[in-house]
Amino acid sequence: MMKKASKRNAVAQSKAGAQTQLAKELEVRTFALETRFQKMARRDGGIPRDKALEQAQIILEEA
Amino acid sequence: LANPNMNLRDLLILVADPSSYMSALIHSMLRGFGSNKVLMVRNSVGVYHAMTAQRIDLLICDARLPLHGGLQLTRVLRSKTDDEHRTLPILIMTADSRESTIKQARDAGANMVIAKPLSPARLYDRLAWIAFNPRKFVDTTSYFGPDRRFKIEGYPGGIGRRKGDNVTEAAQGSAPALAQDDIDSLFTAVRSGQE
Repeated sequence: MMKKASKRNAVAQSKAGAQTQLAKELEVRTFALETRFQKMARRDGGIPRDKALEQAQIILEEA
Repeated sequence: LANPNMNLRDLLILVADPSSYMSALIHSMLRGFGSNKVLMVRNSVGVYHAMTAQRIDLLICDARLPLHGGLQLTRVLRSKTDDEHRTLPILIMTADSRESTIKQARDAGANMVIAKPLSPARLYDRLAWIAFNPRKFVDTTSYFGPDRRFKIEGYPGGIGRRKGDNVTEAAQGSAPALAQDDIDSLFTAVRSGQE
């Protein structure tokens, strides 16, 4: 009888612990962010993909 | 954007790879893409020194970077609450492209993973994904980094698509091309021919 009760208590405590952990994990903060890389990479004056790949290939062959 | 151009000029890119050959290869590709500021380091100590000295705009890092690996380095960078490099875009390079490795890199907070050996096209497309498909950042007790729930549905803004894709528009039927009587008469003619 005592054993059963202590087992029930242990299960209840474990469940409570898991719920607390879950609640902590659910504290999610999301935010939009534009990094300097994203901002700068989108500036005018960029190189089109085809040309960039062609130039890279030439430099690789030279190297 | 139908065909965006990527401008890497004046962006400081840090390439962290233990192999000098691989670093030189990536440097050449980046120069071809228009980059003029590339730093190369061989280990995480080099990364730390570079970040202490200047503000890095993009980190391209090998997953097996000495001393503790690129993924551990990513975790450490993402965990530093007072560091301006906490939200730095990180591209992880790996020769081990198993799903479990990709997931580990994602869970460490990497923006993208690229499989080795690299090609100019693959590298360009990963950088373009990072540049043109910004993702929200997520901050929880167990994770800080780009939102891991994302789906790649083709290239961003059409980058890398074949030239012929999406050019031909399918005609939309507004009415039957033939009247029902005409269709019936065609079948009748065939039947009468058989007889």
